[in-house]
Amino acid sequence: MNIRPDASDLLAIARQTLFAELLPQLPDHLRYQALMVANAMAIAGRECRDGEVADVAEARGLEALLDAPVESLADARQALCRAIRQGRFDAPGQDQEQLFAVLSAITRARLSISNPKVLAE
Amino acid sequence: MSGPNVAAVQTPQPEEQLKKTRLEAFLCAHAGAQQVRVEQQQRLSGGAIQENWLLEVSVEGGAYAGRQRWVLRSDAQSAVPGSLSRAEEFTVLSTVYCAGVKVPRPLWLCEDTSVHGRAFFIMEWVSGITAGHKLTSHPGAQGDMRLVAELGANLARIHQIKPGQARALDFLGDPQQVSVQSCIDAHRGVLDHLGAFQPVLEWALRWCEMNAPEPAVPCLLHGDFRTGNYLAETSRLQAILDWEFTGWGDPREDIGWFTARCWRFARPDLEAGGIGSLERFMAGYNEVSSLRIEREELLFWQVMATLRWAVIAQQQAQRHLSGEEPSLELALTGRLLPELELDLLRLTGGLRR
Repeated sequence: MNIRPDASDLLAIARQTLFAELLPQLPDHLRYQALMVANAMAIAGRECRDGEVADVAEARGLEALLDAPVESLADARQALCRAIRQGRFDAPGQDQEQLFAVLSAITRARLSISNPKVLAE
Repeated sequence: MSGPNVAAVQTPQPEEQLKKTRLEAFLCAHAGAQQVRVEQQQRLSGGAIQENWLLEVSVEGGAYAGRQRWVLRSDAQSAVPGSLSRAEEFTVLSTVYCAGVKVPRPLWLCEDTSVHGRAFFIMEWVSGITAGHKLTSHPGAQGDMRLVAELGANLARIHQIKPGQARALDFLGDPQQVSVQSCIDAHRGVLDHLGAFQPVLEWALRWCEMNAPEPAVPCLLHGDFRTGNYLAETSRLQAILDWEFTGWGDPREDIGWFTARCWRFARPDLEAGGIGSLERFMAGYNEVSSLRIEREELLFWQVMATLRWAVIAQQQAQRHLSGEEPSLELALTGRLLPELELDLLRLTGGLRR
């Protein structure tokens, strides 16, 4: 959608308003909930910004692992799960290394959206 | 002040009043008292499955004469499958109390639902903090050496209880039926049922299948022994809580759950629950039990622990997504998954730059 402010802009200013104007006025027993709201907005904002790029990268990684074109991410994840469960990556070696490289990259990309602080640790 | 409307508001609902009167009669009979008055009732936080009420009670006569603080623990409206009934939990609590485990002293069980609407039991109230972030925000590099040793010793006391020794606990099932493989199968079943296709979880499950250690002699497990599920105060363990997932199993499972990174809160560097070092924890444990845990065994059980929490987190997210229980907290629990996946990759040797 070509309207500014876009979803990211709206989430950012909504979160800022929550922190600057609402949180200081809230009684203690509602603080935790307000912080959860702020956290949810931060995750949604990062997903708006980076989610699509992460999905494309994941599809590319899964394609390489499955050696087949990925039409839907959900189907490709399911196919990889099946291959892992059947033991295709049990033995140390090139396939397993490729699995680790792809899973590590996907997990880091997801973390950079859900909780980037953990990545910095 | 004494207008009719105000008076109407101040009169308790008749049903609530009756409920209180029935409770007082129950307490009076069991405490061997002449009279018991429940002066205040306050819902305690925590316990999504159970309800805990703090009762401020005044007792006339009998062994409990005076002012007492008791906790009434009942089922909540919606029961969760796989957790114990109140009667079973009361039996577990009584057994571990007698074995010298620090728990709130259990007093009386009431299975007659005409008293309170649901089964409940009464236990003594214990002071202390449960909040994980508070308990792990100690400044020292070593953490809380006394508390972590007490935690170790108390877990070992639980693990000293073996099937067969405690016939009262026969309802916990057949200890021979518990195995790593049955646990892996159960996790796979849940993920398949949810349609949650998560390659990292799948990899970790496969890794566990390939790396399962020889089973240890089964014993009583707490089943949810972690920071957040006990009360502590001024470096002392006050009471271990939340016994609804107790069962027979491999003692190393509880140790893996307690030490898994996901339960270290503010101190991921302190392996034993964010409270202290593993060495200190096991030193406390070995004051009571001779069980040793090798580094690679611990690692295996930490993978199992992280997997279990990841599967539960997916179930909680589903409770939100299905509309069964719309909740921001459940929704955010679902978004914990990538952190757990990172832990799983690291632990199984699969994390790459």
